[in-house]
Amino acid sequence: MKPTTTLYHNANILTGARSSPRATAMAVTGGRISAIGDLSTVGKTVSPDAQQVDLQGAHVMPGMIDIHNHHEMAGRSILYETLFPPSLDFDGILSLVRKAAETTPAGRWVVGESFGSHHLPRMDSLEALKQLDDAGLGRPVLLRDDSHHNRWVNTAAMRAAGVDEQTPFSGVGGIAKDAATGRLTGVFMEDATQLVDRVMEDTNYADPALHLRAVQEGIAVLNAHGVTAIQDAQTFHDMLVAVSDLDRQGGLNAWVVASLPIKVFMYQPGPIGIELFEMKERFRTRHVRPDFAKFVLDGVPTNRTAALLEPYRPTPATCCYRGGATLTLPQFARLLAECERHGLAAKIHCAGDGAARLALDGIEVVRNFEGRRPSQKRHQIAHATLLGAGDVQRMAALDVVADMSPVLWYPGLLEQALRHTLPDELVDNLSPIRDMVEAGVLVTGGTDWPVCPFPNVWDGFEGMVTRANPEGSADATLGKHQAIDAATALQVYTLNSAEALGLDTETGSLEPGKSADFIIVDQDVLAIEPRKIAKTRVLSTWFEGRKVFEL
Amino acid sequence: MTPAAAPLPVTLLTGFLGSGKTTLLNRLVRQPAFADCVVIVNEFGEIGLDNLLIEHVEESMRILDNGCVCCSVRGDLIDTLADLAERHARGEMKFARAVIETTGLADPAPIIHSLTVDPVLSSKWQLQAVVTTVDAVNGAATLDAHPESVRQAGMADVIVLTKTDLAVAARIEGLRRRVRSLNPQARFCQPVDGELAKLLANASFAQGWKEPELPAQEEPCHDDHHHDGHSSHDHHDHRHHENGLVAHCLVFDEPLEESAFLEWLDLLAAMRGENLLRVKGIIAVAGDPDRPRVVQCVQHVVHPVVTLAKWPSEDHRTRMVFIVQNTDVEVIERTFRRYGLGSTSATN
Repeated sequence: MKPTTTLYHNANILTGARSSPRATAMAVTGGRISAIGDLSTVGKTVSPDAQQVDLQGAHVMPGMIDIHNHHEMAGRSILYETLFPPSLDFDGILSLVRKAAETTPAGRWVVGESFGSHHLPRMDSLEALKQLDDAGLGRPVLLRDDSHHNRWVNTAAMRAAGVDEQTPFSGVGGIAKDAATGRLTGVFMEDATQLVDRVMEDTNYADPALHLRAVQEGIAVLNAHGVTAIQDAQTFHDMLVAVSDLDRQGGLNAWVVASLPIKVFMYQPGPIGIELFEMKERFRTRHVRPDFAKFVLDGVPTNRTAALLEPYRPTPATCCYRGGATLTLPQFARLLAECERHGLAAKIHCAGDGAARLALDGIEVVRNFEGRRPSQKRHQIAHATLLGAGDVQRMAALDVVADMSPVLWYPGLLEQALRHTLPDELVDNLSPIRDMVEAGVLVTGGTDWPVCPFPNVWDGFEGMVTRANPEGSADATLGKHQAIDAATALQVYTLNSAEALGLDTETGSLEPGKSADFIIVDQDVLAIEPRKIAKTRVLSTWFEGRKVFEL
Repeated sequence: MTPAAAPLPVTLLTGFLGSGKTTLLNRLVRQPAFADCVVIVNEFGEIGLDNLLIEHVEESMRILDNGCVCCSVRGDLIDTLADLAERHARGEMKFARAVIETTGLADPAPIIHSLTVDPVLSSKWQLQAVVTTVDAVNGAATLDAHPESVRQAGMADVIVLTKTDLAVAARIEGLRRRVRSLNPQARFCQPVDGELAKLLANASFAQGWKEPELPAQEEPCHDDHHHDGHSSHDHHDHRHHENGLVAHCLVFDEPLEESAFLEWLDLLAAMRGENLLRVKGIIAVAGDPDRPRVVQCVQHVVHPVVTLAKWPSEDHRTRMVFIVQNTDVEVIERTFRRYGLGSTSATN
């Protein structure tokens, strides 16, 4: 059967292409863009029987790309867990837990997110634990914080997980104990979260169908925000199975680049690391690309687990503490070379400037040992928010991609939380995006959803231009001199991200031969006041020429 | 609990099939220096110590006529070694040292690794030397045909040329030259040499620096020519390939920044460990130039540095021998200059 052609015309199209950034007509054949330009030129390329759609001046843009999210985890939270905002107060959290416990079948855990990490000191007490026990009505309860690096669980959960005061633990983070009695308070940090996550996962999420539905839900939410391509930032085996199966069934409405974890950070069942790398090709489908490995080189600054070059703010108990990395330089370099041998680029979580320095050192070691060769990969520093002197230039020299996520380039809750542990001068210089652009670093944009409650790429887009909170005053800015222009910020969320993912022949701009991944929005984002960009409403989202979302 | 006993010395005897390991072992256990020794073999049948066996203690244990114990590996060599150390500690067995005879096809690397890195074994056993037998009659053909034999020679501290009475002198000299070029650091000994037992009994794996030797015209670590485009202080050379195995020497005139140098060695072991058979070096350290450091790597493992009280010879330069397999030695030079020189390293 001959593929049908649709001719869209009378449109205000931002193509996202480096040349010919604007157009008024676009022909789509078999899900690909067959021509784009003005009606007179595009019209000549289509047969008279082509379907014609008059867009009546609608604003068309390329589908947006989110380079960093956890779509399946987010989908799961929406479908099967209790969601609440980090601003919710302590009693509010307990009453939601009680409500969820009333409807949770026996044998399942009550799971919820995200409590603000500012609650942790209060949660870390036997009195609070008692309250959580009461609210859980006998069910195991597990709550995640807004960094996703910590858990608060009740006594039933610890019992189900077989964790008690004698449970040994080594690694980053820890199991919190009441100072007076030595009893566990239910707070688990960083690597210790595995101890409870493991049992919750096995209890609540053993059925693969749940994962498949979660992927579907996650992608649907992303489509509603105008996103048509993503990099899943930490793709465990079961997620990879689900996303791959969904694509084979024809139900995946986005390009999904997977990041296979090299090292267990949080617990997930199934093969991991090299074992997963070796089977990755089984999961490659038309839209699923298992092309990245995921490293986690440190924790998060709010936990004082990010690796810094200079010390954290002192506390009464500690001074001069800088945090530490999860791997040494030789260990990291060796694993990175292993990833390259498997054809994988690396997405490297570096929340602190010390971890970013280690990542750059490691990439340089691999280049020095392996020499320049075709298998060389374009690695990413994820959360490139804190960078030491000279490291922006090193990123450019080593061709390292900046994965800018979550949105930490305007004043807000996240930025305020960082000021509790980081010296002000570090926070004042977060996310040096303009320096990166000028140095020639490929800058890409991500949300880190569900670490932030919505995959709102528009918010980050506006913030890059204004360095001000879209919800706040225009005058309150963070590093105003690091602002970039709107056209450059749009590239960050489209073509730059596509290039970083190796998807630029498929998507990232509206050009002939590429997938017809476009969105129709309510305003021209390059013609309006930058302060209005975040208000952009996505009216419809099209993936491979099919409408996958409509407002 | 009694305080931890000093680790027991152990000698690793390797060599290709038919290269004379057993004959050598027979001689060795009769030497006074090896009088209180436990011999660990894979099978009693292989070892041919029948004329020595006088008593069966248990299925896997025999007493030899000179008082030595002969023990065959049941299951894993690691388990056998752990078990022997345990019995020794409990006073159930009395011996002063051990010799492990590997099978002819064995790669010595995993055994060396276990003895030097495994936390249990390395606290109970101390590897003294890796001894490799090379047969003067068939050695050349064996090296041609069997990569295992090349690795065995490359990893040796001591090479024993066997069956020299059956081969013509020119042939022996050719083989010696060939093996030396594979492993310039190894000591060559005659099996009949009465000194061998004494040498082995007093050898130290950890301090195993010895001036590399080759016939004068080929001495790799004494060349003074400067390579084009290199900084003026390093000299290096390597011998011909043998089954992808190359002995590469690096000489550096100026004392080195110790921490930077060791960080480089860690990187090299991490990135190229599978290709490093043995690395031995004597290092001149800035700030402490009179006390050289001896470094050793086997595959991925960099052994703890040993500080010598004085230089063993007049030559006070940093000298290293890298016995590598299937890798481009240029990477050693390049990364040494980039990382090994510390603050003076070239920046990217």
